[in-house]
Amino acid sequence: MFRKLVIFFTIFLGTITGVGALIGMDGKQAEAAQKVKVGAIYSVPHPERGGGWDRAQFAGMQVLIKEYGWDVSIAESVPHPKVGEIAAGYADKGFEIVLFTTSGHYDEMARVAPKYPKTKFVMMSVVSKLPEVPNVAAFSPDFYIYGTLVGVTAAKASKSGVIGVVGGMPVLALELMFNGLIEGARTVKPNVEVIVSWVGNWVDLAKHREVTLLQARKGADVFFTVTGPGTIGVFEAVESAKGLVIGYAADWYDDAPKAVMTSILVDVRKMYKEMANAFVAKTLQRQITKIDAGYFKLADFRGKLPAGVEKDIQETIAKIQKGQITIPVKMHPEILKK
Amino acid sequence: MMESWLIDLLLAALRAATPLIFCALGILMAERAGVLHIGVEGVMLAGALAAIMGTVLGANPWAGILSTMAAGIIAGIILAFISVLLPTDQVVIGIAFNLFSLGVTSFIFRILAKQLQVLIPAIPPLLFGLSPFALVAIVITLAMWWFLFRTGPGLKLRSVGENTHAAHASGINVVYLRFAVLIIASVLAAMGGAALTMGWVRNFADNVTLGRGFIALAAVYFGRWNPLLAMGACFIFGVGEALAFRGQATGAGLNPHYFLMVPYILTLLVVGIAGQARGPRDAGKPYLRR
Repeated sequence: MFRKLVIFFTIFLGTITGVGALIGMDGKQAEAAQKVKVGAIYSVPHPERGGGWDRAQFAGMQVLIKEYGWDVSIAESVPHPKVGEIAAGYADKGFEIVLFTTSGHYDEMARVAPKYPKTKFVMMSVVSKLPEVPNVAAFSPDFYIYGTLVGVTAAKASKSGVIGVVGGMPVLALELMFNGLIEGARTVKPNVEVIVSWVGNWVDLAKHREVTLLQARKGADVFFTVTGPGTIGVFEAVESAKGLVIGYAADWYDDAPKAVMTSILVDVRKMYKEMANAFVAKTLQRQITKIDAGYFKLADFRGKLPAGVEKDIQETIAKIQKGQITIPVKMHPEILKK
Repeated sequence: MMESWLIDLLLAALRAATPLIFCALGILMAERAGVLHIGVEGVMLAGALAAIMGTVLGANPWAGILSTMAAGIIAGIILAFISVLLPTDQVVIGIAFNLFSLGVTSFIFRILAKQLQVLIPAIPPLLFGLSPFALVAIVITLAMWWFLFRTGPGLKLRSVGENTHAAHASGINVVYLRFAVLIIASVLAAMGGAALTMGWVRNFADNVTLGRGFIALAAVYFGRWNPLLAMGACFIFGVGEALAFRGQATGAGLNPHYFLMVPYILTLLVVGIAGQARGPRDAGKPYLRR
């Protein structure tokens, strides 16, 4: 008898809770229906604390939430082959916009976009083309130009004339950036040596550390890295070797105050606002919007360099941004070692 | 020049090998007592997080060591309760524990991310540029070899792994011994995690161990359940890893992935050359009193 009572009350409580949850959900859904629903896809875990680009984009998404009041859902750790499935899931649930955070998602975006014409599929990373459908768009940073700014900063800050560059995997964005870095550095210091190393993954802190330490042993005193969570492994090695590192896309100072010289920021807030405004004005169309040098700026140096060197860097970067200094576009296939 | 290159290579290899040695010793001890320690990766991950958490929140490296040991003890008790007391399949529970630990550590790290996303202070090297973790790993390896092959309690432990029922008949409390050994083994594995995060990279990230526990498992099999040989196997893997990056840095013009394959090819070669090994006969068999 007692057992039957327990089962009855369990079912009773479960029913009440379930109905209550459904009612509550209805209320929330009604509220959410008035907001623009955005689905964002990341291939890394915990993007808020991830690599530079992921971290910067996460800040951009906060603009959509806080300034536009949009409903942003984030999918993390999505392997590239599963991106299409997640994007289709968002579109099926009535999301108006699906954001792709890395160019590695392009193939899946191109596969899914034609099936959901009512949803906008937006690539927030470097691409050179778009699928032949009207419901796609891209905000594509000019990573070559970005790289030139890093190169100029690193070359002017380096005392040894050797710059260490650590990449996770050789993908398009990094190839462009590192080529730009070499040319930028050589423009201001022709004899500078740039050592480029690839770790083979984005996440292994220990491997990132060892690669960076090896570059320090070869004389590098200023470093730059573009990778995922492995970034912190690079910072550790730079701090151990008493070098300086330039942060990528977001301000990394709090992560390693002794090692981070400055960061070259990408104004992702502006980039996301442009995307949001275009969507609201119904002008978000099949187009690649170039994110150029005007979106890039130096973070505070916090006294890491002599005032004269810092001023020199800032003036040179301002001249590049105004077009007063032209840096050649030249590719260095040897850094890929294919 | 060559001399300094070689010393640098050996130091880098030892850095890479140290976390593996701790884990390998834990696996070896558990398997010598007849319990497969497949959950070593999860325990290592828990230890890696506990070390950073303890150091940051306790503002002291010793707090990091203590919390690592506590994490190891808790993980050991959970594993021992399920695989020794209940007992369930040791392989299944090991895999389940690895997945559980990955989820739990990521969840805790997410909650404490802002506090933990800092580089903890470096632990200064003790001797010849070696971290205290590396020296402790070497000392424990020698002590474990002596304990297992030169002492009475070591013989008892090995007898439980070789023939559980005979050991029971001779008066050994198999359940008690396996329970205790699994806790010690888990503390060692957790220390492997601490050697990685506290002693090497000074930070934590989701899944920071990246399969190093499984590499240690391979090292134990290659080392034929002998602490000295297992340490050697870990060191060979470390040399492979150190060579991979040095090869890339020579500017040979080859795709970096060829160099990154070196440690795995080296491990495969060594395991292949070592041939078939026979482990403790009753390892992996749940003990049911007749």
